[in-house]
Amino acid sequence: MSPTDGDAFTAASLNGAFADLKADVDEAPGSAIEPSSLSWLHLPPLVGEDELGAGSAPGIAVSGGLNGEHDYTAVYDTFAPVTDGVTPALVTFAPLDLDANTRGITALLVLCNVEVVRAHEDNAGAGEPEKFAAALRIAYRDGLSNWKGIARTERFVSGDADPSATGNASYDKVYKDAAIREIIDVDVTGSDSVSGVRLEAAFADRLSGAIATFETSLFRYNLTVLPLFGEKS
Amino acid sequence: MPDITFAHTFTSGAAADPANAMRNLYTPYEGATPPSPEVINGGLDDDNLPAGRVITRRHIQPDAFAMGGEVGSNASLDYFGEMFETTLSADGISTADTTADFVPIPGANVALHVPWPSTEFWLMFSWNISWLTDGKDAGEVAAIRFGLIEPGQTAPVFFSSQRRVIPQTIRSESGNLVWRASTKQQRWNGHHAQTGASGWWSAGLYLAADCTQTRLYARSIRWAALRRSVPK
Repeated sequence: MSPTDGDAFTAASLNGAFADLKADVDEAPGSAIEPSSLSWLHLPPLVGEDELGAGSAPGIAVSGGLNGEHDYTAVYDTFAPVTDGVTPALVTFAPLDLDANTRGITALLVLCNVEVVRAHEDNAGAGEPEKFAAALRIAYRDGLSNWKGIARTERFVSGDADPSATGNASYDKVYKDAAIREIIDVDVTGSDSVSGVRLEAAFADRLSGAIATFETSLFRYNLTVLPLFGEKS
Repeated sequence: MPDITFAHTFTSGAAADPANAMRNLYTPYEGATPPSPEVINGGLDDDNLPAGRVITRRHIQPDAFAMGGEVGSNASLDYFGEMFETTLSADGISTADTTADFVPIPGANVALHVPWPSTEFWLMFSWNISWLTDGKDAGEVAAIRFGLIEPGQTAPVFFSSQRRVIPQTIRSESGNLVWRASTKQQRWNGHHAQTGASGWWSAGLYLAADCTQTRLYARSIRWAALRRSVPK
């Protein structure tokens, strides 16, 4: 308490006044900070790429699909990892527990684009209706081997076979772009330990048929994974 | 920096020395523990804040954590194949694109300045565009590419994975020309992430057409710069 007129001027009151002064400096309120005084030099970054640790590969952003079309015959619900034959659409890193705020990381921002060349039935007969689609999704790795697909990232791109011809003709190629944007956080992973993110592909058909006759053909893709700092809610 | 520890504590019965009061008020110091409120002359840090969140948005300068911007346009634009000398392939592999023939698309290009130190940020671009062609043969396509001009460069760099096309859109059926439903109009909601040098960047979509006519519809591009942690 600050001294006022009439107070005794003693060692105790003097020490008390200094204690008040100390409290004001040591516990400065927010109003003591000048508005707009904090620049980027004062503040931490948002992207915690450096915190991914040993085992991060092949980097935070992956682009591929430079070696021609690749076909995926996995059926819907099984999915196959996407690769261009050399570079997989895959980012791996040291395991993160997003629920435990490992190394300050609380979420992974995932952006993915992939070009679907065709989603077709090889043996489609003339006049058969469209009945197939490329199925794409993002999956994360729980631990070091258990991949889990994220249902809400599933995207479907349909093709249309030329009714006047069988499949595989040049005009069956649709070159459709599929875009996936996702935040992987504790609501997705729960208590899982996340160590990778990848793109997966399959095909989905509405009619029964020989599996080998269905294909999803992909061409170009790019995948970006950015680990974001945050506070555990 | 820890809290203040005063240089002197006054004792009842001892002779009062004004110099001690002066030292408690102002003592220049070097070291970890400030002995007086002189620490307010530029020496305060987070140890001097109370528990809880006292730093709010009003304390932080704009663009300190992240920056961003966006442009767009919805006026239709028509391009004609005779404007271009390039020969495009539908898949972009069997025939190399002549990159010089790709022209920037109005409403789908941005210029931006990043003031942060080189490589200490990620730039993320995302865009939307839709377009239409009247290609009647397999080789008649219109291609759009994403191009990036980094600080110090004068020409765009194109990326092999950042290219989309409209292939043949019209085919002959029983002697009649009909539109292909799946390729009648193409959409690309793409993205690109990049780190690099501080300074001025330009980025956007470029078009080349190898067909009679191409029409661009609504398009936009946006960017966000996020500061990243780097080893020190």
